Order: sequence, then structure tokens, then C-alpha cells
Amino acid sequence: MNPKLVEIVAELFDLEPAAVDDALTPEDVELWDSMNHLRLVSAVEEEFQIKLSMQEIESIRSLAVLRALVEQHTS
Amino acid sequence: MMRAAKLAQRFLLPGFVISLIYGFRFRALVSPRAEVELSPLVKLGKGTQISSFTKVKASDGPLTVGARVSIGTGCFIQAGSAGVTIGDDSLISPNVSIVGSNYRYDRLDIPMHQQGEITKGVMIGKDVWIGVGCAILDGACIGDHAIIAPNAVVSGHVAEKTIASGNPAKPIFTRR
Repeated sequence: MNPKLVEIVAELFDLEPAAVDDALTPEDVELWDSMNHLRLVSAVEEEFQIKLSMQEIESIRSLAVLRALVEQHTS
Repeated sequence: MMRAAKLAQRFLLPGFVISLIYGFRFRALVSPRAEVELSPLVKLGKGTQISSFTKVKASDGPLTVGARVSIGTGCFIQAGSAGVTIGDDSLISPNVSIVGSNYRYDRLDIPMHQQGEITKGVMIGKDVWIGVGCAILDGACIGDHAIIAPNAVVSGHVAEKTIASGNPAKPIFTRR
């Protein structure tokens, strides 16, 4: 995974970078509530200079989806 | 004489009379258990609701509330001389404090309560949602459609459509 994405997720959810992987979902991470979801999206948008639509933001049900969206928007 | 009338008004006028007065004057729904000062400086929009145990002080400056605003229970709203404005359709959650003035504290030789107050006013836009327990302090200016997360402290500008959180409130997201 993109190291910058790992860094953002690890810092926001207070995780070890090694623990960040595709399978991470809001159910596994205690700090991943609706508010931090928006924080995550804002941080990712700023870092990668992209803009996600509201539907895309709602579709992020795991880190794999977010990674795919970032790749799709940056490529 | 003026003072006696003011005191009589404050202590002898039951809550339901004040509710009726505001109901007839502005078509606003003020709970009889809310404590809204009876003052010509209070202007409420049509359909605005003020819930019980909310205290509204507006003897120093104007309080202008738009239409269909909902003010939750236990709020404290004080308008300084620069006034407090709340736009149409806004939602103020329970236990929100909106304070429209600050004490001066430039001098150490006299107590702060003798140094007077500074007031810049509070401006809350239309369709703003303020979360439970927020403190909206003098100088706050919140744009239309913004959301303030619970327990945030706002004393500066929050741009329109922004979701802001924390102390001091910082933008975390822009609504789209």
C-alpha cells in the first residue's frame, strides 16, 4: 500500500503502521467513527490532491476501497 | 423606579406569560420553563422554538433569531452590545453556550470586572447545526450550512458548509 496512506491511517487511528492493511474496516478500529471517517477523507484528499464525491465517501467500507479510490483518482 | 419595574418584571412575571407574549408577538414557541428576557432587543423569527431551561439574556444588545430555529434545552445565550444573530433554520443542540462579550484584561492593578467588556458580536448563518455542549464565544462567525461538532469551542471564523470540531474549532471536512 502507498506509504503515505499508511502514515495517514496509522496517525489518525492511533495504530502501528505495520497493523495497517487492506482488510481494516470501521468495525475493527475503535477510533474509526463517522467523524474520523470525514477526517480520514479530508486528509487523503489533501495529501493526494484529489476530490471524492459523497457517494464515493459513503462507499468506503474498508481500507481496500479507499486505496482503490485513491489509485483510480491519481492514475 | 426603572429598576423596580425591571425587578418586578423579572421576578413576578410567570414564565407562561412571557411564552404567550413571544407567541403573539413573533409566532415563536418559547417554553414556559425557559427564561427569556422580556426585552425589545429580542427578535425571534416565526416558528422558532426555545426549549425549557434555556436562559436568554439580551439587555445589553440585540438578539436576532431567524425563522424555524430550534434552540435545545439548557442553552445559555447572552448578547453583548454588538449583538448575537442566528440565521433561519439553524439547530442549536442542548447545553450550547453563546456568549457575546468578553471581559477586558489589559491591566493588572484593577480587577477584571471593573475593566469593562469588549464585544465583537456573534454571527451564526442559516441552516447551521451546532452540536451538544459547544461554546460559541464573542467574535465567532459561522457560515451557512456549517456543522459544529459536539463540545467544540468557536471564537473565530468557520467557513460555510464546513464541519468543524475541537478547541479551537478547526475544519475537518467540507460538505458537498
